[in-house]
Amino acid sequence: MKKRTAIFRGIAGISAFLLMVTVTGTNLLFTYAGVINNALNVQTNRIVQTGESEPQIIYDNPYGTDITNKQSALKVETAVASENIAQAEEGCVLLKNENQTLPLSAESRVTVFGNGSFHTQGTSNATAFEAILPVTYISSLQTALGEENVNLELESVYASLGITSNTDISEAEISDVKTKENSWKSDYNDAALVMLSRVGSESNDSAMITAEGRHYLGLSKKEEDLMAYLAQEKADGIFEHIIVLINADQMMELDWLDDYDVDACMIVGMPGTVGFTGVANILTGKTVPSGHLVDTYAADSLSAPANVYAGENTQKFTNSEWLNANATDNTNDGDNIDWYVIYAEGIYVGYKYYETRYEDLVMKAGNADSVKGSSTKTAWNYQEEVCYPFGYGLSYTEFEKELIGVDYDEMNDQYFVDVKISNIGDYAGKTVVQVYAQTPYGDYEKENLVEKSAVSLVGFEKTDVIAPGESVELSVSVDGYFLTSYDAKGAEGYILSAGDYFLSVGENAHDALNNILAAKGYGTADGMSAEGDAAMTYQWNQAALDQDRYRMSNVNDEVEVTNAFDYADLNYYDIDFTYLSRKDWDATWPEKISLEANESIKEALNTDWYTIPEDAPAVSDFTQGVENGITFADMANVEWEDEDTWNAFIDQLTVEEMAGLMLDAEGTQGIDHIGMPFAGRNDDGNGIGSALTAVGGSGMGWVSEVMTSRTWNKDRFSARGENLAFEAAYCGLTEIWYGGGNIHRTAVAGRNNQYYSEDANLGYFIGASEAKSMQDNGIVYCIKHFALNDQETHREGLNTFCNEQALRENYLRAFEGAITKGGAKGVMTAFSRLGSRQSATCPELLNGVLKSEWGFKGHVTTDGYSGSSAYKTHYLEELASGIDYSCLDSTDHAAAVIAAINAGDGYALELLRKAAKHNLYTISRTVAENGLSSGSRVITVVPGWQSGLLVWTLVLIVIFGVSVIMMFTGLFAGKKKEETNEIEKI
Amino acid sequence: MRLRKFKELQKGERASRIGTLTGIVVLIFFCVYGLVYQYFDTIVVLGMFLGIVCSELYLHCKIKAAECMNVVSILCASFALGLFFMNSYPVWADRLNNISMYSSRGTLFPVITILVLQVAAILCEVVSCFCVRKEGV
Repeated sequence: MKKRTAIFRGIAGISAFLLMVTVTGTNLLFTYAGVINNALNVQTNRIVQTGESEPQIIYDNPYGTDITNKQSALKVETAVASENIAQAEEGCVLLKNENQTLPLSAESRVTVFGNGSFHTQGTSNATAFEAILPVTYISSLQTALGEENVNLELESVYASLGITSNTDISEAEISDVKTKENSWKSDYNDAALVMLSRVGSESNDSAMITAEGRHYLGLSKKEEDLMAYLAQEKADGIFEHIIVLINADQMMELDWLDDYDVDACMIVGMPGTVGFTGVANILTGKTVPSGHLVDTYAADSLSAPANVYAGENTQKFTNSEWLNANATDNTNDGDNIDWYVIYAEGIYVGYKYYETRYEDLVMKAGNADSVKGSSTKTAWNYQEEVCYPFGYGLSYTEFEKELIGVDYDEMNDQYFVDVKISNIGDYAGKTVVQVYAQTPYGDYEKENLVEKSAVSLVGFEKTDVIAPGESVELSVSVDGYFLTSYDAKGAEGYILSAGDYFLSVGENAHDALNNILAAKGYGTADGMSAEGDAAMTYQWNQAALDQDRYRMSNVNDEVEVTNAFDYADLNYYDIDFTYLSRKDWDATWPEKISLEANESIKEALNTDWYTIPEDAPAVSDFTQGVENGITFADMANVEWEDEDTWNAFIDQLTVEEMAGLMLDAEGTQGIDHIGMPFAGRNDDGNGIGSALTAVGGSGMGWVSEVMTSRTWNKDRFSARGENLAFEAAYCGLTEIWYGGGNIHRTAVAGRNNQYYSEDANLGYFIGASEAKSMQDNGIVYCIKHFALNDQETHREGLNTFCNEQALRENYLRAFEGAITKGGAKGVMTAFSRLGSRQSATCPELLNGVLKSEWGFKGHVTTDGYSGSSAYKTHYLEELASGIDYSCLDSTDHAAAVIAAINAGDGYALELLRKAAKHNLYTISRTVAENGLSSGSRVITVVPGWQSGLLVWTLVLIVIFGVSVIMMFTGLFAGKKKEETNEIEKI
Repeated sequence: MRLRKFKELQKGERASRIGTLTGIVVLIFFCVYGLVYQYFDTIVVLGMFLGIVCSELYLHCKIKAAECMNVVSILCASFALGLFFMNSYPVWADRLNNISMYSSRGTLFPVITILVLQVAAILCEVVSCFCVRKEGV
């Protein structure tokens, strides 16, 4: 062989390697083209105007609709930054403030402690514009107090540490901290500022117990050492004050604040890219705190009954081997079928548990003083269990509230609670009027297992800034619907119980309950934590049980509201199970039980139920691909109910085009001949995951959703939705998978920072405000994860058992607000199951409650698709259940539906047409319509990276081909010239 | 045809032999990995196997046509490599994002190990391609 031939063979080898890798890689890259285009900020279509019709601007953006304009993008981000600071200013919650600690006086000289000060959760260190600087905790302090007034000596100690994870708390050894103590012994000791961090995230619940055997949400040993050291320094006269800041959206145990002589404590949550400016403004008194808790902060984060089945306490069926051998969806060693949680606590989550048990303790009912559930292992006592109740929050000023009266508007079934608020303190500030209700818990309820929370949040309003000495009056509206209870056993619908009703204005849930108890004649002598004020309550009596008034849907009086989720309840599966009841806290307190999966559960796990109804239409009953001359732009104002126009529009599409709408690669591909452009989507993880089209940089890292919740300000909720919509539009998106409809069932749930609250009623209001403002600005609010996805541990396919009352009152209600009040047009289902049925294949949930009962007009997506999980591959069942598209599926759903239709399934075609309408209607209510007209044509543009990849492939083919030819030429030409000894010999 | 000892092999043949042995190791590793984590893929196995066979054919067949077998070996092994990488996206997506959305099994360690070994096997074959094989040895 000649050397030249060997060289060509080598080149052939290299090009073969590169060619094969490129070909297989291209397949993957093209499958996720949408995701790559988003990442690279690439536009895939261009709109061309033909004819004389003018392009329409349906969703006007105050910053303009040219999303490629850098100045406009800068204005958007500047406004977003400003809103984030405002959100942080109102979203921090002051829990304790003694000894005139806060606000800090100007130029206070302080020392920062705690690894969280330097490794802070929920921030980001970049913005899309140099003009907008990211703000860290440290930089915010330096700006507010003066750089020279902040002692950062400990930075070097913390530099080598990592950030606290969801299992490990990262903190310095106290001996290392002490090495720097000279820096604060005689200076920088006006205050010791301690920052403590905790975290949870997608897929990762926080640990319940750490490796050192302590509660993750309690103090670690090193943190305890730090606090003890600081307390001693304060006792020794070194530090004047100790201030603790909680950088966490998980509900930390804070029963130790007094033990370490902490003067002030504030929840600062996850403030995003610039929110620490707002935090610093509160610390220095530029802003008066007005945030309130949206969760109960318990002394023992694991004392609530929900923890029995949650997070680390998620259970595995005892006979998983049998289940794995027999369940059809076992593709992952049973990981998607074997695990379960039972919402054994029923409705008693968060304050609904703690406050209800407290009332029963005071009223000496239901064995509330049982040791079960007591964190002290003695008789249960509220004061030892709850550090800060739901709704709690201090201000620098003091407000006096007076209940003026309550009016009832029978026509609209609304109560109006009128309150006078006076600022009797020294600072101008805002305050929140919180209205709670108590409804009767009598014999009927006990007999029919209708549980009642002692108080439920039913309304609230936040004031504007009130100057010292000034008074305002404010009216809080309360929907009568919030006074109902879901009765799954007796009425099989919502009821109004017979008996006494109370509306109570309180500073928090506990205060409101104390007012109700006072109205009932109870006081501290009965064991109350404080005297209540009966004057802050309004009381009336409902003479008889009413099972009819709320029988029909709020939005469609032809749809009956009745039991739909028997299969979510464990009792459906021939397993006798008792949920927690206030009838007897002791006897019904949940104990962990080991479940054996039975045939009934196995059957529910198997999802192959798709059948073609006998009266289903034939494929030939539909005509696809006709030309009716209707463009996407023409549909912008066509109502959902106008079936004729929608049918005529959809008749123009081929089956393949309709099936294509079911796919998602962070967006839906455009359809050129109807003038529909690409419609981009992306996830929200407290900030939009896409780049701004004009500059390529990422959008702002937002304050966490729960921080917005803590503002208790409907204007802030709306402002979040609105600003996210502007930002999304400038990122080229039409939809955000955003809105935290699940609840904070436990303190350790991984995505507590993304979900609104432990209380679904509060979530109802937040979802309504955010969704409305986002939809009004042409971006789809796609609330998630529908439903029962309240933890991350084993979230994929988790069997989640819950009774219908809890499901409706706790787990669906926040979604209900976003959809029925906010007009949200997007819903994402969950990875988990209702009972043992996958949420995306529950027609009762999607076609039933969502689309029929709530009158949802929009589209429904699955959560992230993966063909490697068999339980996500029931394409036709999903379509029949009400799924309209599949998140991050680039091929499979469409292929399955097309195959069914090609095989003659007219029912699948009918369903596909419905899904196509839902998808097109939803996209037609977005900024995708901006710039279009009847004469618009969409030109598909092949992204540069795709063209480059194809050229690269061709080049490799040519190189490979040429080198192979040259190699063979060398080899076999050599044979002919063998005699000439061109082949070297030894 | 006898199996020649390593020291009897020419430079390019040695590279090919190392590639073959590495290929066998990675094939076994992949089979175990695929069975344990339910990622067994017949086409990947076939690609790896053909890569090994072609490599061996190159070593043992001293006919002109066999001179291109290491190129064919690279084609097969590279196809297996690409297909394996493509199919491993759930593991990458879940592990790199620290989520569990793609229902992936196992860590990135075996995936990276297989990729690295397979690339090493292919590179050995590439080296052998560049080496002149002298006749009569």
